[in-house]
Amino acid sequence: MRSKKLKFLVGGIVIVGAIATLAFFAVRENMVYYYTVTELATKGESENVRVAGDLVSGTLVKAGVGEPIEFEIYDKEATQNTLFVKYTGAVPDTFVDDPNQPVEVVVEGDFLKDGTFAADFLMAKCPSKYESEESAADGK
Amino acid sequence: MNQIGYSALLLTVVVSAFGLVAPLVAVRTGSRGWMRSAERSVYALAAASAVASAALVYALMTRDYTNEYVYSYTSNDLSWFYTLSAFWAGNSGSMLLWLVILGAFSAVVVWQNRVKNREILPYVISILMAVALFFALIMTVSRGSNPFATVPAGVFPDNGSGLNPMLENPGMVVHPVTLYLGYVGFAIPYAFAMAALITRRLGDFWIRSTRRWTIFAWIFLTIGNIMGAWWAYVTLGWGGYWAWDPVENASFMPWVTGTAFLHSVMIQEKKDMLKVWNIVLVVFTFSLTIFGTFLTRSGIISSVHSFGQSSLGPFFLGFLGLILVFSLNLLFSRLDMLKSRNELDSFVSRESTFLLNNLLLVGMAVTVLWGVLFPIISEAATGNKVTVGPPFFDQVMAPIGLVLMFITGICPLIAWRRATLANLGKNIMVPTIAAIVVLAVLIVTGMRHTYALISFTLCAFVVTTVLMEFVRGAWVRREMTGENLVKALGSLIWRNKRRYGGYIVHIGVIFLLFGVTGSYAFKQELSATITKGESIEVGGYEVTYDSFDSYDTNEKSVGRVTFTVTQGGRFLGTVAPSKEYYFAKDQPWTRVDRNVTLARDVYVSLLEYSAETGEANVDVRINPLVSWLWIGGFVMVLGGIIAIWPDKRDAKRLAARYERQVRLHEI
Repeated sequence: MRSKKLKFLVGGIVIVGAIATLAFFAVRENMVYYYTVTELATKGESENVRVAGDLVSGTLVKAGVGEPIEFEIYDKEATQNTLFVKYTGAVPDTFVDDPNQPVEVVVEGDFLKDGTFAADFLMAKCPSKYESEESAADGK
Repeated sequence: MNQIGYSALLLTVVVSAFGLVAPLVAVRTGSRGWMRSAERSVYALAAASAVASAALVYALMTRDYTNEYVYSYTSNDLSWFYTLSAFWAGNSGSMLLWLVILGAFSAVVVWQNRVKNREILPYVISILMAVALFFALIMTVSRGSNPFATVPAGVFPDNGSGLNPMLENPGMVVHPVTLYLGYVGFAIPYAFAMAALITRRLGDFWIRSTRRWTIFAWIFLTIGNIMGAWWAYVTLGWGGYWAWDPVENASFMPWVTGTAFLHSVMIQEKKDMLKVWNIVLVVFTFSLTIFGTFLTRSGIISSVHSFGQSSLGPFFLGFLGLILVFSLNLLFSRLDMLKSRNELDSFVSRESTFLLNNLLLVGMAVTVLWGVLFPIISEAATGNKVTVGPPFFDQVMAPIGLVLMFITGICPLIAWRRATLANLGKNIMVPTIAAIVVLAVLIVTGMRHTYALISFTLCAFVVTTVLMEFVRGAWVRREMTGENLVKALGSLIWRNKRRYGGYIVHIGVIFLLFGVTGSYAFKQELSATITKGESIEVGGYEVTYDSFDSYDTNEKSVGRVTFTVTQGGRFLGTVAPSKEYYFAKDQPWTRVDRNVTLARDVYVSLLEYSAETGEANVDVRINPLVSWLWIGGFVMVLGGIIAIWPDKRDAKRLAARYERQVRLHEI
């Protein structure tokens, strides 16, 4: 009886261990550092990072159909710090320059030596806008 | 109307608080009167939350813009259908939706148990009302969550700011409701489990009494998840249906643990084992539904759905902590009463496959949770904020999923208790041959993608084993009753709804995974800027720019390109994706269009166009087998409905068992 229990215990541990190992290596291979605009500036040139910021209204430039878009984002905590972003890819519909309400953006890509952020992933504030309404109503 | 709604909300606070305390008083004093009041408080909660909901619907329908919520999510030109969906388009409406569903479910529970389960009903009521109280309090205490908050006095807006155009999709109307029906549904088995612990009535009756609730919740979570995927696929325009976004994960995790629970309770019913495990599973599943609601609402984790901060975070976290402390503490205090009377006999037995299935499913849920919380954990531990993206999830989920597929196939082949290799060998023959044939054909036709090869081979294996179950059963029945094979198959399923409903769900899962494999492994994509007459070629398909037109309406401006889809010159159809721009919301919307067959979708989205030159930046994707995802989802739900369908013999068996357990003082 004891040994049977032990057998199942060992079997269980092997499986749990296998999943944990799988997860461990998957995290190591796929983790992406997440910075604010200010943090990235102090960090300097870096590859494959994520940056969050707000769109500087009026800086969004579309060169032409199918061309990359360019814009600047700033740090909410330290508004003087901005980052120039060049993004190649489909622009999400939620990414609209609205002077009345700053658009929150998350970009992923490489921070180049010349201070440009070359992004290949862009996420903008949600369509269901749960939170912005919420905090507005809270008066924050 | 806002007054009535808000008053009804205040009433829900009062009655749920009463409903939390009254049953406990009834138990302590043995008073029937108190118990009757407790039961009535549940009906009162259902009524009050229904009145509040009706008031919100009324305010929405009449466009009462003095209501902040109505102002934020509707506008004059919104159709009644989407006006109704505005109910759950935002935070406070969603909270009310939770409450009204919980009220209705609790009322049904009280009504279902008006004669049976009387010993534990007080605690069931008390727990359900505690949950209700939480949601009622949130709406009344936090102004941002009050669906009846009004705009400043003296302001009378003549139009609302409108529903987001992306939410104007039938899928988005249904998705939140189905998800919430699933979320709230798990509150019922949770409440029964806790009541069983409190009363020390730890037989399997709490499982049997709530089995249909569990399946009900599972069906709706399934619909909710698949509907969400479908919505993302047809409206968001990035060509995929699942991005491991925190909010998707939030609804995926309770689905996974709920699925584990559905399986493991069978072992308790059959073998009187896994008692502790089942309680742990139901506690986690319920906690994950609360956590899921919290994730979508709190903004604690950045996702496509939620950004920024909200005041609800601490409320939810506190409530979640309370649930976990209460439940696990209770569980530990009863641990010695939860000893199993049986042991597992052999590694090679059906019990073991259930055990393995459970470990893997829970492993999945834990890894997803880890991925979701990773940014928070790493920030707390190292000060660096680090995230893991979709590749992390794909990388972990794919192997676990494949092993799960294998178990799904092998399980019906293995005998209970202890299987001999000899009879396993006999059973496994046909499915193995089917699998090998499929594998060989795939390799010969040039497929080299390892995961896809394994997955398709397993699909063949599982479908064959399940079909064999049907055929064999129908065959035996035909021999016995003389019915023809089709009729025998029908009555076989109908007389064993639980078992064969479950098998049908498994076929659905395999269809779904077939679609997932095809669309992940073999998708192709190309985007290019083209103009009239030019075409984009992807994966043997040509998408040719045919014509451009644009027009304006009162609410939007539309630019649309019509493409011809051909394969090797053969005409397949036309697609007309468009780019719309909504004036009121200052919001563009890229509407994709697809050419769909069972084999693949040709998915075309118009990323950008120039009205002057007619140039268009177009993204063309070939997504193989995507349709099988939706078919699979449909089959899963169908199987679930069969399994949950009322069954007289089952009910009789349950009643007899219940009486026996009462006699033996197990209840």
